[in-house]
Amino acid sequence: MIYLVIITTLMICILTGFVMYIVYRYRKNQINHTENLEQIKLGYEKSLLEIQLEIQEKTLQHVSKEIHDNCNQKLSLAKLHLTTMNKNTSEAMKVPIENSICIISGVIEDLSNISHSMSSEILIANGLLSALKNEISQIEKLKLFNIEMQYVGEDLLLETNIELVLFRIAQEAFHNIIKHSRAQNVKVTIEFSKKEISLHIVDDGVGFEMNTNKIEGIGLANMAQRTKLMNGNFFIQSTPNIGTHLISKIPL
Amino acid sequence: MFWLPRFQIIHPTTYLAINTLSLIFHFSFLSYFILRVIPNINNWRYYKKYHLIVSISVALVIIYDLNRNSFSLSFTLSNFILFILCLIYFTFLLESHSINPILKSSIFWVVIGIFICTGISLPVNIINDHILKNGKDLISDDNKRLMGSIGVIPYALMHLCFTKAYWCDLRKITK
Repeated sequence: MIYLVIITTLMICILTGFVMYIVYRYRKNQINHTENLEQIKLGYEKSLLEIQLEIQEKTLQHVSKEIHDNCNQKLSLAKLHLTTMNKNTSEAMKVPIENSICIISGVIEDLSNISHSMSSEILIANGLLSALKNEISQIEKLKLFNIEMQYVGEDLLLETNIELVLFRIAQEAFHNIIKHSRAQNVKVTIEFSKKEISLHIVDDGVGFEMNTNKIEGIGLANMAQRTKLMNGNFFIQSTPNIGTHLISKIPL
Repeated sequence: MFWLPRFQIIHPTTYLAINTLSLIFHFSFLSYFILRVIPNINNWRYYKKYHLIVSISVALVIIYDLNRNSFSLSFTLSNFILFILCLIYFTFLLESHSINPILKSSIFWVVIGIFICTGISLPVNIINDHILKNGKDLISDDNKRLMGSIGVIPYALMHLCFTKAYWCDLRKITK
């Protein structure tokens, strides 16, 4: 009789153990499966982002080319016509024609700047630092704030994709500073190291509350996505009336 | 339920008939339930045929058992088949890529109940039969009662699991 009791107890223990093993294995499978799903999702998101940015980049290139090849050419032709007209016209008409030529020249220059800003040709040809210097010199012409740029470490030869991502982030940041910050001083720092490249953009503008929905609309998500695409980290720290500090770190 | 004839509550033939009918219901209902809830079963037709063959076999064993005024063989066989079906369920469960929490699934708890009940009943029933066949007269009344109580334990555990399953469903409804 004692064997019956022992066997029953043993069976209860064995079966309970088996059930626990099944639950353990199921949970392990569940974790693996969730991880696989996450990886598939991340891969999908990354490829989607890549396509999105590629389309964005191609659109920018196309618009830049159109401005340079079409709009600027037509405006130059109009300017040429006006210049020719100016030579054969009466003194009374000369002033308005010269004014028109001046306006057209200004528009041509502005469009040329926009075209250069959109194009990645300078970046590809001369590298990130030159492209940023060029961008900063364009911004300085607006005389909205003081802007200084410095770089720490050795200017490394980077992958075009990384340079392009950092350049577009900087452009987006400059656009935000011009549009929203009312800053007096802006500082751009690029830190080169063997492991990573960091872009810091600091301004002393009005800043914003970090936990408001406003930040979604000022291109920060786009900047974060671009950094993420390069497996990097994007940070932003902003305090109202003190300023904003933006950091994008990309591993090399 | 070997103590029942001893107390002469019901006639042994009626007792056998009731047990056989409940066994048929128990086996056919539970085996069909397990087959229906096996996750991602690819060849349902194949399992349906398999279930039919097994049911016929159990029916034949029951007829054989009725001829010798016993139901121990059919009881053991049906329990064994249910036990195997539970193992099949677990195999498919581990192969499935479900992300639902398993301990909150009422189906899982029902199958666990059947698995524990059949798993414990099998050896207990075999040992009980063996003891009763070989030394029925040598066993004291206390021991017979103990054997009866042990025979009830698997069913108690099964119904505990069923209660847990009901609880899981109830929580889902109230949520």
